Amino acid sequence: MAEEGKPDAGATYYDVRRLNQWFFLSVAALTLTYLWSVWDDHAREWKGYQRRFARFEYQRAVEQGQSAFAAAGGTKALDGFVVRKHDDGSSEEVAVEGALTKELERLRTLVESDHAKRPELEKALHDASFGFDLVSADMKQAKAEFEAFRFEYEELAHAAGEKDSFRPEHPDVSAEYDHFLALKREYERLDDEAKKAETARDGAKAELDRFDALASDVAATLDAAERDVNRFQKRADSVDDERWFNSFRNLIFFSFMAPSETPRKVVVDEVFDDLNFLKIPKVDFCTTCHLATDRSKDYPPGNANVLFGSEKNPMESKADSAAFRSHSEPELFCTSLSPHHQDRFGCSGCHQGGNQRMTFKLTHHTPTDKAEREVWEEEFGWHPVHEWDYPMLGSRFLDASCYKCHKEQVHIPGAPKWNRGRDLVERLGCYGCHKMAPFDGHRKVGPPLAHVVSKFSSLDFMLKWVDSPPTFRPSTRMPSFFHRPNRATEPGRDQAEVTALVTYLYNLTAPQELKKYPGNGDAARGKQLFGEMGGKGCLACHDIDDFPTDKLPALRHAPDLSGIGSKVTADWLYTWILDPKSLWPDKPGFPGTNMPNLRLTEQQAADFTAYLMTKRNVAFEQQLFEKPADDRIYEEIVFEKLTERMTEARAKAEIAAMGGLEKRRRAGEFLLNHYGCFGCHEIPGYEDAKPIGTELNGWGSKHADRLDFGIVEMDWKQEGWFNREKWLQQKLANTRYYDRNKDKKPFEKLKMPQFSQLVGPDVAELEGQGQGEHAAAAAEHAAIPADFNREDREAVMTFVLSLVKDNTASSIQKHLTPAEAAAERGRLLVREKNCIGCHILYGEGGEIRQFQPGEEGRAFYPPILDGQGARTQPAWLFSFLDDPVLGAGRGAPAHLRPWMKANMPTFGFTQQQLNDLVAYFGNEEVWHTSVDRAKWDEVAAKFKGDFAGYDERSMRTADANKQQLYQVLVARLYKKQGGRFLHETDFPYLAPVPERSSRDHDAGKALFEKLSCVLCHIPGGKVPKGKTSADMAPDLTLARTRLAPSWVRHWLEGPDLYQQPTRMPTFWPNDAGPRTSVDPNGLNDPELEMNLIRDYLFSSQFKDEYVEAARRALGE
Amino acid sequence: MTSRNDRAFWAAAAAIGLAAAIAACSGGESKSRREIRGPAAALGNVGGGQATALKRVDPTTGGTISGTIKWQGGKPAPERIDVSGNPECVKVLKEAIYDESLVVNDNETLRFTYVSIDTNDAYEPPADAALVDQVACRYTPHVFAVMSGQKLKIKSSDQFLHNAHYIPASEANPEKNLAMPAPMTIEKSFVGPDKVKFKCEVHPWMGAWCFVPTHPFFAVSGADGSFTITNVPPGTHKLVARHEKLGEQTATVTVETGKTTTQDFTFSKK
Repeated sequence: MAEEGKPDAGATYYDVRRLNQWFFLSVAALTLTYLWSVWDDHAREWKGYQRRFARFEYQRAVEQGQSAFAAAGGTKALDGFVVRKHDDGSSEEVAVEGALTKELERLRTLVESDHAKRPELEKALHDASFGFDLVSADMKQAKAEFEAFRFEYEELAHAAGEKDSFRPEHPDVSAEYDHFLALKREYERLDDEAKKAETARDGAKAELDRFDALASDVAATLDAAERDVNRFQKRADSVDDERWFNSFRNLIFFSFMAPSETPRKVVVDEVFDDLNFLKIPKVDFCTTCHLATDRSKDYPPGNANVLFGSEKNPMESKADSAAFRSHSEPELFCTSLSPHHQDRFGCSGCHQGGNQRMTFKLTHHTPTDKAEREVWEEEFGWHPVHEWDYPMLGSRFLDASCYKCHKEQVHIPGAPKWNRGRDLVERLGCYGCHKMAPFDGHRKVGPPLAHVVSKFSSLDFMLKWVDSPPTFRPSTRMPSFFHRPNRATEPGRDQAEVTALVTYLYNLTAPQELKKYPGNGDAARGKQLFGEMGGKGCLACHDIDDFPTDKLPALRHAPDLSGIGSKVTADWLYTWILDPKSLWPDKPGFPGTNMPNLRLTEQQAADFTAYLMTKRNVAFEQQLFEKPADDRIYEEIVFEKLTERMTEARAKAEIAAMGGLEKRRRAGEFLLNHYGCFGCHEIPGYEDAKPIGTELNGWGSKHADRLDFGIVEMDWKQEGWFNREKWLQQKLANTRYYDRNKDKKPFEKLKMPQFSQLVGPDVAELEGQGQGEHAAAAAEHAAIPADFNREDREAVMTFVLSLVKDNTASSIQKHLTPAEAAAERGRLLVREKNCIGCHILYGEGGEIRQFQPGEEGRAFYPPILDGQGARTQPAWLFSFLDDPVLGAGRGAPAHLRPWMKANMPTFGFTQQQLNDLVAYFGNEEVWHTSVDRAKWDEVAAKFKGDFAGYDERSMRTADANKQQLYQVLVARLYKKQGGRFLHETDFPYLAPVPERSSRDHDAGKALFEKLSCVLCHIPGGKVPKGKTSADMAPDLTLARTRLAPSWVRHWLEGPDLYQQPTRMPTFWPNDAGPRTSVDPNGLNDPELEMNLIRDYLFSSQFKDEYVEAARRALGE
Repeated sequence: MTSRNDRAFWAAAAAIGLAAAIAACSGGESKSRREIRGPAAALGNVGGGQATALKRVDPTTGGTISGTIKWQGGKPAPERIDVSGNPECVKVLKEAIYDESLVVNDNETLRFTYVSIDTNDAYEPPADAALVDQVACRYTPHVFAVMSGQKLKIKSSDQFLHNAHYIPASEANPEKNLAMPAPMTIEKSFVGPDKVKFKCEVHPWMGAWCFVPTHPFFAVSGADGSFTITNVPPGTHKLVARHEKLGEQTATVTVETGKTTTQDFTFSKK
């Protein structure tokens, strides 16, 4: 009830008490929420990892401190702790003073206590200095007087005409002479005294210094040792979580001041995230948890898993024994010595993943395989996250990131999977249908079809071939267009399509003039020529069943010839072998065949033809191809296509007007345009036709939403496979898979052919899942099918995934210098022409060696081409590559290595190609082409010390990728330290050979004779009795025009560094100490001897003298 | 506030501040200091186990294995080597030389057969060196053995150019080709176990086989076809006889201290 004048205390709208309770509740809730939010903000996932890392860092610092302590002398020198054992058996740790400390104390006390000594010494110094000053002043005075009088005296002597002022004859002069002498003597006396005084003074000073330094030397040593050890102690203290301060600084509320647990961030200015309206630099917080990525010295490199880590089982999770690892391949990534320093490149530029995130899940870690995914799901509750479109690339596809910066390169050392993928895409010719930047303007991968009627043995063969190429030749690169699963609903259609296509093609093409096969070939001789001991070199590129081996890559450069006799006519084969370019010539825009001209004689070509025509595939020949019985399907095809642009009635009328052949031809024409055969083959009339497939530029950035996952029973999203990798995997394994359950007209169906090199089980099968309702049961019982092509398929996937949208700044991309670009063009040619089929080039290739077994075979190995640019003169190399027999024509023997069976063939390069090849060899940056060998060796030694796995023994057995990587990385460091390569010197990159005097020339000649070079290096290639061609060495007459003089010098120093194996012995070995001389009683100077021999080789008289010497030595 | 409260307030603040300061500064003897300079450090970090010491031959407990390499099938005609392509050899060689890859002695036994115990034990190599010489256009001896780590003297006694090109079978030893233009000696050693082929490029018929065992229990059968291996540790061993052209044969032998065990092998033309 209200009282007057007072506020109304009782009447309120709400019940105040209740209001208070609500208020209390809400305050409590808010407070709790606040406290929770503060706690949640504090308790971050990454802090746990940092804490664990701190423990490892502590351990490491302690270990390093311990070794520093031991190195400094342990408890003998420095203060430390020892275990004292007592009589009653117990032991305790007791602090002891180190010897150095004790010594320092003693000396300090000595210095301090002897307080009489120092003033004494000081006084002595003072007296000595003063004495010296006095004498010095006197001496100077006397000197001045003497010099002044001397001037007058000499003037006098001169005026009097004295010849020698020290023996005066003139009376006036001699009178003054005594005075002159007296002054001189006085001066000299005082000078001596001054010198003595100076010595005394210096001595006194030295005494004083020595006294002072008594303590300071020891102090300096002690300081240095202590500093080393204390450094590690400080480091350990800073991460020691048992220290109160370290815990305090990271506590909730207080951690704003100076926390040790902080996020670590790398801002990558040069790589962007494209957010549609904005391109922002990537910001990586990965190192917040992955703390040891660049610490390769302290933490072993490996999979930089934070939690997985025991050596035995990388999947062992959350163990406290888990070790932090530094990034694998530290010579290539993350460390400051590598080309991809972490601070500049960050992490997500290569690994992709959730930008600016800091938790395991949100950063989109991708498990490598099913097993890993299961562990992650169980341990971390991992699930695929959909909000970011670029999850981390699994470790299987990491190479895909290299391309976006290394766009200008054909071969990326350190990215073997990408290289393999690029190789496969180039060989299989994917770019024939799918446009992609690395292959713009590339050659057509298949042979031209303009004269195909002359090539095929019969129409029947051609029909069967087009119908199913792998049935004839399982390793063929031509894919299968027909009998695919999405055509099962149209019986007979495949045969009709094939017949129509072939009919059309036959009508387009014209016969070609061929040489007539003379018929006198000997098949046995042909077989010998083909493959025995490598034969003429055919096996470097081709396969054949008579010479089997399983040590070679599955996809060879050239077709398998096991059934060639069934495929082609004898005339065609004979013409082809004699000169491949006559049947597939170079045309503007359409390069000719890659097969070189072996310069065979006509008889040899006939022998080859005879042999190869016996290689038949009888099973294939006997197969029956059923052509369609009537024209119904052709009419359907034509009808479907015509009705796209005219009414059905009109179309029917047109068809009715066509004859049978015409229907087939029209159908064939439509089909040719549909399947896009012109993408791989040059077809008359279709030279300018555009490729029919989807453009693949930027495919790696395509969102999974844009991909057609088809109508299949599996739930891609649920299985976590809704990503572009899985889509691509399925597509390559079965190119028509996504047509499942769809109802499409024939021409609407998917038409990508199936490559037998990539075929494989469906994703669902691989993951052990069945389809649809029987999934669970199927998973229990189904064995996971074998997937033989997985490696190759993943390589192609890596390549396709590497084609991403351009999101890197030009400054971070690798731009090739003009020299490197020229080298890259040559590198492309080397791969195209398959030089590595015969030659070994930087650890890769030499496939023909498989067919040259045993010691006998070693003689026929084609030479190793490492450092070819440093070895030969560029002009010679140019003319050699142009014509290896330098105009001698067909069947001519080789100049340089006449004993070889497989001679270098004639490739018919264009001038641009020749220049590119010479540039490639000349611009290679490997140790052969380094100008400063000593510096290279120094850099290489340090590199081997810094990074494991690059020692001599490992490198001898390492694979090509590692060897190439080694060369590239060392070359980079060498250049950084000022080293230069041959191509950075001026043309002609050759140091001139000095003209020798006749005496030196004779000395060289004598050495040449002494070393008996002619016993193996026989001019003219004549094989003496008792020896075989396998014992021969190159003809030296060519050395002058062919070899680089500096290289000859290096070769003489150590042949086995350049060619392994080589028959040339080492005459001046230095592996057991300094180089030994071959003429110890004469010249006894290995460097001079090598120079003399080299200069002799390059002299103009060499040729005649060499031939003469050989004649004498071989006793003719 | 009253001055009493003021004073109380400031006293409390000072006390807290002092306590905090003391707490922060009290590092005292840090744990890491004890660990770094403590007893564990005195031992130092030896870093991995020492390489296990090499064994030594014990003559007091050793036994002997001896035997003969028998040949079945009559003595074949020796193959003559054609040296006419090398005039310097024609001058030096007074009589013909024959191929040494299959040498049957007059008493129907086989020469140049390498017999050894099959074991991986590593023994200390002797201090003196083994020797292989290139003399009169041949490698002498044709088959020999040098222990792992033992010095091998590669000698040339001819006045003209030879080269010692040796090809080891194992990756541990690099292949090398050493020129010997005048009489000289080069010392090398190999890491066993290995089998090294010696050849000469100038004289292609020259060849020798060098076995590199890790133990000293081996012998090469001589001109009478016999071999003897001494100081073999007692027990059961596998004995292997290897011939260049005829392959290898194995046998099991039991060796007793101070006694000689006989084991023969018989090879025949394949």
